[in-house]
Amino acid sequence: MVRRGEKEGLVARERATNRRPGRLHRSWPGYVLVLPAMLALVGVIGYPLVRAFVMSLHKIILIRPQLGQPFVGFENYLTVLKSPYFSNAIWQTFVWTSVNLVGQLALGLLIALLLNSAFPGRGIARSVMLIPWVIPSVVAVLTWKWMYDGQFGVINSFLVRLGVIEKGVAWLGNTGTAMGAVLIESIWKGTPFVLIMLLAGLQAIPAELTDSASVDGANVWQRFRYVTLPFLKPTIVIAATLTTIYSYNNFNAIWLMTEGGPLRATETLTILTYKLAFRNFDMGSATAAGVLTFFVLLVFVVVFGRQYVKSQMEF
Amino acid sequence: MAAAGLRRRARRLPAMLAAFFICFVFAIPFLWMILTSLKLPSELFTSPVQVFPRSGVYWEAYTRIWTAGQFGRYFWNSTLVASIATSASVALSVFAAIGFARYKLKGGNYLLLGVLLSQLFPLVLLVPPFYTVLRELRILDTHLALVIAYTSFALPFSIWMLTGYFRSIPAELEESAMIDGATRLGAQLRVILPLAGPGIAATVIYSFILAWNEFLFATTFISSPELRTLPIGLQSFIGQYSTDWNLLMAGAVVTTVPVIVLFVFLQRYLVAGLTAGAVKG
Repeated sequence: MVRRGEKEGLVARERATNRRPGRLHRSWPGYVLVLPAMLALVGVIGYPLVRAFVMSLHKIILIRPQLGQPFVGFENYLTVLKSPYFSNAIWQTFVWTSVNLVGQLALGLLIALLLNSAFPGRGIARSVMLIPWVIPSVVAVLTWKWMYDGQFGVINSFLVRLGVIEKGVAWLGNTGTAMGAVLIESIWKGTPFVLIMLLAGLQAIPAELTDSASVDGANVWQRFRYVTLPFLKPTIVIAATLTTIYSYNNFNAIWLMTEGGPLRATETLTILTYKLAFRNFDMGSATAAGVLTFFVLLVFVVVFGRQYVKSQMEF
Repeated sequence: MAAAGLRRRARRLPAMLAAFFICFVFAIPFLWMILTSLKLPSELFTSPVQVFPRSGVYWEAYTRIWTAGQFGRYFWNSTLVASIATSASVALSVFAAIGFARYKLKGGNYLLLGVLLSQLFPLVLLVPPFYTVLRELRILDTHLALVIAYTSFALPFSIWMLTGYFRSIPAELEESAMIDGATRLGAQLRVILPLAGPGIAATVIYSFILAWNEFLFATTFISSPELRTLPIGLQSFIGQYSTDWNLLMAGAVVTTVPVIVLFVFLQRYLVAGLTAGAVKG
């Protein structure tokens, strides 16, 4: 790479500079190394975010370019906030996110506890549990859509045979069942990630602790409540935060199964934003709804974060 | 002693059975996807539903899928977009992580936190402005648009994870390489990269899977059928009149195979990296 003479010169120079204190604190190359990635993030996430906010202050109807893009202040926000669809979407988002959160955490914790004890075939069981997480979300959703099929779906066939229902139900086509059906898919897909994190957390608990607790006569529940749970708490909080963010922002599962329908029964804020943009072509209202969506999430996360800090102080 | 061990094992039996039962339930959709792809099209539309293919395993769906539609094209498009985005993303994040891990940057930790927080923004909020910008740049409906987006989306997690990884490698190693005549960056690359193999493997699989699976941007920005990636290609199998589930599920299996293969090879690294990042985060 470097010619011989030059190399020797370099070595001498490096040695000389190495001896100078602070040589390793020279930082400009660090900025140069970080710069390209930061530019990419600013270009693809930062700038569009600013642009989204600017767009939300203008009237932009894509299919009516002749109207121009007049500045309208916060009119889009008012329109969105007043719309009954928005309050519906807030409610659907609340149901969607909280059931996802509770379902994934409860199942994830239960399965993590089961898979944490030693038994033959545990490795295989763990690998199998990761399948839903690994398979592409579009593939997962389409498979569930097929299983939910009103006429030839395996779920209907199974339930009819059990005698739970008399004939096939269009799970995704009824306002009463669509949300539940999509939620089941989503919990199925999301639980393995929670499981991985909790398993890692469980394995970090020193075995001596639970052992000595059982020697002291603690039963299974007491061991879980007073040894395992406090140790696992930080991991649970992180898992809960991530699950909240992921579910809240989820688009694929709902869009591919129901497109927010039937009759907006599964229309979360994410879906509403997308529909405003690419069904109504109303980019102003869509970005306003998107900004509001973000702030609602922020409130969620701040409340969580506070809770987390508080729980940390208790220990 | 032996009796006590046996008793303890017997007590574990219910937990073990419960674990296997839950695993089985979680595996059902995956199994159903494979079973559907191996049945005769006529066997799919029976009532009650038939679990196993009755007239022998039907492999034709897997050959038909490459000839019937544009599936081969979608597969190639996905491979192309995911490979380029992965290479670009891994290169950018390796450099950035060396910067964060090895240099004292003013506000470096805040920057790193900002990188992570950028994950918080709903992707759907980015779609309308992104659409507008792509149109202004005249790269709407191109693979370039997807490559740019996927490269950046993979960055936050990759930078975060690699920075943690690089910090765990002692800096003395580089210093001795530097004394041997390498430049600072040369020493870093030569010393860090081989040691950070697992970390880099994890970012490769993460970036590739992200690009391979992405649906929202692809479905919004790509309108030409010949430019479709696998996720939107698969969705287009859902016909207006009837859906060829047999073919669709074969396509789903073929789409899943590269991800599973990558995952089986690299799962240890990814899970370790994910949990390390999560626990630190």
